[in-house]
Amino acid sequence: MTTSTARQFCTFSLDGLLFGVDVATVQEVIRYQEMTEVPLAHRVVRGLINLRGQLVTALDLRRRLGLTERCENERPMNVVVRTEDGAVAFLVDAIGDVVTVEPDRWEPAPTTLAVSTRALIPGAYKLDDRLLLLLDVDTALDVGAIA
Amino acid sequence: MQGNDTELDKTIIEAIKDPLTHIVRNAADHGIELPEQRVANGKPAEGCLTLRAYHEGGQVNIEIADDGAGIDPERLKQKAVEKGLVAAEHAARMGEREALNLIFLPGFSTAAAVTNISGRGVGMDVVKTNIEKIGGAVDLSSRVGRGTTLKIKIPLTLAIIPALIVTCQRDRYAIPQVNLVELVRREPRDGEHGIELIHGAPVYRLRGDLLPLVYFREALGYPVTDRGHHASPLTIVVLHADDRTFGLVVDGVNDTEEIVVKPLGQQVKGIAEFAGATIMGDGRVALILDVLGLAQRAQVVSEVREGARRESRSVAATDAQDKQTLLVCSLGANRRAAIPLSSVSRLEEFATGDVESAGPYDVVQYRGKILPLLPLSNALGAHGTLATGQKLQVVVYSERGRSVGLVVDRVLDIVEEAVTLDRATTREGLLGAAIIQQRVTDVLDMATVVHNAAPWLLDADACAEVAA
Repeated sequence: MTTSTARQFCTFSLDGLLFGVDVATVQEVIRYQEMTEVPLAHRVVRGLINLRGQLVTALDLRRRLGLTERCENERPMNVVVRTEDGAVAFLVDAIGDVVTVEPDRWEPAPTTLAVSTRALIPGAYKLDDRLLLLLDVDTALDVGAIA
Repeated sequence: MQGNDTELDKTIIEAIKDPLTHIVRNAADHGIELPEQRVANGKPAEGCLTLRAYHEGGQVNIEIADDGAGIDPERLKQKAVEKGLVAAEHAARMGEREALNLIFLPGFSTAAAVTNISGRGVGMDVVKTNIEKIGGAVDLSSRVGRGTTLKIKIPLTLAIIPALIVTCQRDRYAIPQVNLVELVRREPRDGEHGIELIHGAPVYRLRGDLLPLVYFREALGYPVTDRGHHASPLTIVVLHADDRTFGLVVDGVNDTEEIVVKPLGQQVKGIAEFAGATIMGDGRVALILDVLGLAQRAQVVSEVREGARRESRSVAATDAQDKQTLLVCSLGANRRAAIPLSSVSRLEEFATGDVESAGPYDVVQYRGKILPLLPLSNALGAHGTLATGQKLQVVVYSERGRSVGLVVDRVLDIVEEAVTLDRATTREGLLGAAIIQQRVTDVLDMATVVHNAAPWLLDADACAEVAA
């Protein structure tokens, strides 16, 4: 196995689970930012952030993944990802390390997972101590697809 | 063709493309005479149409000039009267400039014959509306026999727009100035705001017309608040979009600002109520309202109803022909004067400390210009100087781009009444006296009052020559 096929993931945690997105899609990771609420928007949209003059939409990944709500006093961190249509921030509980994983550790999501969830989490990498769930960024960004 | 290198934002070009084509067609078709006629008038047989674009003060000017027959203001007046767009006596009083502007009235066309180039009903009113929609202005000047010049002023870009900042639930929202008509602030009387309900739909009587109201909080999906009783004043932002006027009840109004429009991301783009967002001076993001989207979503007025209402109103207007809107103010303890609202361009308040002198006149600095002040009672024959130690309430009267501020003791009210004038007391500057709100009130003829008191203001020809 060569290292050239290994992939690097930016990891973060949500409700006790470890998630990862390809580092290449991540623009930056920043701490909690003040944001402006967008009334009438989908509940996944938590607000708009001014990132050095750039307008960034903040999406709550807990809500996007249907996890439990974050405690009021817990301030989320932002994982800012690049998209075709500007930057979008994912609100997550905490930021983890950047990990390098060999492709042979990949396992697709079991069919027992709901189809809608499988689009979001196509599979996992088996790390030594836990599972790293891969987040499909494009699906996560598509708020309109949520029923 | 001059100024080909003048650049404009793409969105603006899209917006002016059709109006500009229309103007050029009009100029070629109606403006320039037939060759025989031109030669007979001592002009070269070939007509000349100049299109010039240039930057000036953050705006782009486009001039379309022809050396054709020009527009005859008398003919315009005659046509407008024939079509019933203005009353004959009104037309007779019109100045040349006002007459030229008749061309922008909906339903106006002087074209005697329809050709395949122009005169097919898309009038100059559409041109004007389209230009104004993007925050521009149209100005027309013409000399009979010499030609017509149409000047369009448009903003460089739609990315920076003037906007009014309002608050709702502690967040700020920007309302584009192009949609703004006026602001109404209503102090509660006995805990009531004067809002009435038509089968649950709130309306407000604004100078006699029912203004449908939209509560901003509710439009934004916040829980319905107690609509009726409030101790605090009520703020209504009167908005206009696509020929509909409605009032938006907001929590508060801040200031007007020039804002940079930023497009919304894909996740929030679909919300009809918002046109974009902007970053405010303090770094926070504020959403920009899409007034048309808001009106449509709130189902303010259906187009059918609006049209019907306007029709019934024009009928009512012809029934009570003398009904007019008057600004009532007090002059001294015992005197009241009423000014037709149509001759008031603005109401302003100045601190006495801001008054300076220029020649024999008291003046104030106003919108980058010098505004001469005249106590209205002086203009009506009494003698006195400006009151000191308080705010001056000023009625601004404008004519041909020049303004004068008439100082009154207090602006009392705006009334819409069919007044019966008693002409026994008439003298120059007064249309007569009338009983308004149980008080004898002089009804003023502003043009004459100002002309007598400040003849230099209306001596526009002399001024124009100096300026030229």
